Amino acid sequence: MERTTSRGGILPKLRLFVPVALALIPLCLTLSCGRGGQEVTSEGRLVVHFWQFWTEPRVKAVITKAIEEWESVNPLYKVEITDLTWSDGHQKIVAAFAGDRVPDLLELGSDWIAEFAARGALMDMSAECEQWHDSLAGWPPAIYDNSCWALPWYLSTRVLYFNQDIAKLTQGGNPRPPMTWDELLQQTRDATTEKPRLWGIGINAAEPHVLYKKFVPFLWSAGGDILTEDQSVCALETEAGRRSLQFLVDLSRGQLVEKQAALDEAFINGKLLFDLSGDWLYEKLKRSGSNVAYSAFMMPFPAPDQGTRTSFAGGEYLAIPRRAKQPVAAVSLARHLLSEKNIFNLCLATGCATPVHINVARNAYFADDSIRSVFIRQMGQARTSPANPHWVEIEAALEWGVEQALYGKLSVDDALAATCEKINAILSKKEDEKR
Amino acid sequence: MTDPNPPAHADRTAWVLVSPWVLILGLFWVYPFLYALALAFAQFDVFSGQWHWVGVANFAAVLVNSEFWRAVGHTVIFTAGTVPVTTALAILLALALNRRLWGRAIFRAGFFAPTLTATVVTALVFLHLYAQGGYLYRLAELAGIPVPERGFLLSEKTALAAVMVMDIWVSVGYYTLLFLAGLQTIPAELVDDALMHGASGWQRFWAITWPYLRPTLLYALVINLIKSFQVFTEMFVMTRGGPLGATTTAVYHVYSAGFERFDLGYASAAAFVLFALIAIVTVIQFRFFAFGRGAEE
Repeated sequence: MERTTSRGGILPKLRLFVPVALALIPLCLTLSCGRGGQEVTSEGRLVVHFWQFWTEPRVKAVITKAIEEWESVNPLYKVEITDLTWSDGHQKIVAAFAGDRVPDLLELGSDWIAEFAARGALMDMSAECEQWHDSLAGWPPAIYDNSCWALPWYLSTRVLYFNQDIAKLTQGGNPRPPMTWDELLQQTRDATTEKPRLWGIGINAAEPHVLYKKFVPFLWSAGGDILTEDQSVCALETEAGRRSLQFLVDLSRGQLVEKQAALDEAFINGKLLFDLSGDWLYEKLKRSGSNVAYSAFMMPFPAPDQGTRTSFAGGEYLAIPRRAKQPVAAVSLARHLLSEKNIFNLCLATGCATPVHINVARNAYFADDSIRSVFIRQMGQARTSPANPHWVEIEAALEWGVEQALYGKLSVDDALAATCEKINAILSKKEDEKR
Repeated sequence: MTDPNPPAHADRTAWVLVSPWVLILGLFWVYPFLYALALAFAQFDVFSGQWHWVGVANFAAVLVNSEFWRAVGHTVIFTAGTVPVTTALAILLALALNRRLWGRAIFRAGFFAPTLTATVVTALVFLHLYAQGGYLYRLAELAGIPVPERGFLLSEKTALAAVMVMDIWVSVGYYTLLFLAGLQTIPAELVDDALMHGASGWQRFWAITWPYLRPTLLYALVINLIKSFQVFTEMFVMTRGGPLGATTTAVYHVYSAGFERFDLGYASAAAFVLFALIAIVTVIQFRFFAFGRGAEE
């Protein structure tokens, strides 16, 4: 039977409409339906995309208010905020760069800057950094290959929280915080009891991106390092490396080994004598209504008159992608967010104890508070992870080695040797790829 | 009677009607599949977007990688531990809930509730229960059951088993519902007939219930096996593959390679190897568990 074809009706129109519509969708997405590749709102304002990690309503409100203020003096622009999470933010940012859908202003973790800078994904902000140099702290992670790629926005370090109630049980009426590693070890062992269930210290285990932060303070305090100064080779296989890892292993024996959130919870519930934690715990303690009598101290020395009291410092930075559509507006917005007022408000909302702005850190709110002042002093002796483009992989290798030693799978010497083997393989593989 | 040669405009109308689905299928299934397949034969730089063809090198790297096979091993253990237990428990519960019990609706809803809860939420609750000093940990201690020095999820020996227990708890309600639906298809006359002829409970189960449940059982086994081979969220939220890689499953291995190390070529190749493994196991399942299908037909 011969089939008849219909030439009238809706179908021929559909035939034309569908491909045209399909072709227009990506075109519209690519050009963002704006002028000259710039995205424009229905009121004709240019859109500035800001990707950030603060999702807690109290903090988000402070950031939103600061942005609204900026918009009111820059009516040409409208800021679109996109929230990221620390669990998958890195992937989303990489995917955005891969798909060329980059934001204009971007919050980055301190240990990601070198990675993105080395890949040519960020705008060189050296001139802007120069202007801020004396006002802000926390520059090392922003510097890579003699250029500055981001502005510090938020800094944090770790101190030793000390439960005075538990200390009184073991030390009597006038408890004394440990000044050296030996004292710390002794006090943790003295405080660990079965009934009531108390632990001397909480140690992190099997928690990616966190575990190494609890090892490196001991390594650095003992004079060791992760990489050599030129970052070409692993530097863990030294006496300082052995001593610090052995100390961490000894310290963990019989203690509460958990993830950071669980350790903090145990401290709030009065189950831990010591918790190596950040300023977020101070905020939690205040909000939880915990009746634990506590104080905070800087990291102990390896031994009397030996080493330093170094802690780990992390931070969050404002960077501008190289292919940002509104780089000028992004710089202006970053300047606004870094104003003294906005840094102070951010710290009030987050509970931050170490403001990135030097003038804010001098404010009585921080300097006169017994706990916050410890954080500010500790920040003076804190270090960040090396600004290395392959840090994400190096960090994983480091955590693997620490975990092997903590679980007794490898001796301290073997764990350090195996870790160095992994790190050196990463460094040499990347060198080969570069060539 | 249906016209064996429908007019051409009917064909076109059919195409118009199915085109949204075809478009979605093409955009979100076929295109990503082909893209991933191409990636498996390349090294891809996510920042520059540059492709470098490497042939089968990624597949070779997957096949000789002991960590991949260790992850596959964990996946097999997870599957072997969860699928039979979930299925057996679900059948038992379905048989129990199919009776006229007091509060049957409440029990049915209760068993199904964990399935409705987001895995992430359940995982966060179990994180607390399993922690050193957590409720389950203390309960086990009080009951004299040996507990690991660290929490259940932080001990190499217990971490995978702990996640498996949670998975069974979450899944059993869904499969119970499936089996309950299967039981509802049994004609009441058949059961009454068997009762009249004095068949025992066990005889009724083998002669009537079991044959009617077989199609549901095959479906449940295939679906649960595929789901178990793809287990990821639990590991992502609860253990991040640790401790010491004890809970790194195949999909977590793929995720880690693709989205932590951005070795997308290797990750794609590993995903295709996993796809092949799942396909083989599913075919075997059909062969072994589709027993008696011919007789039914």
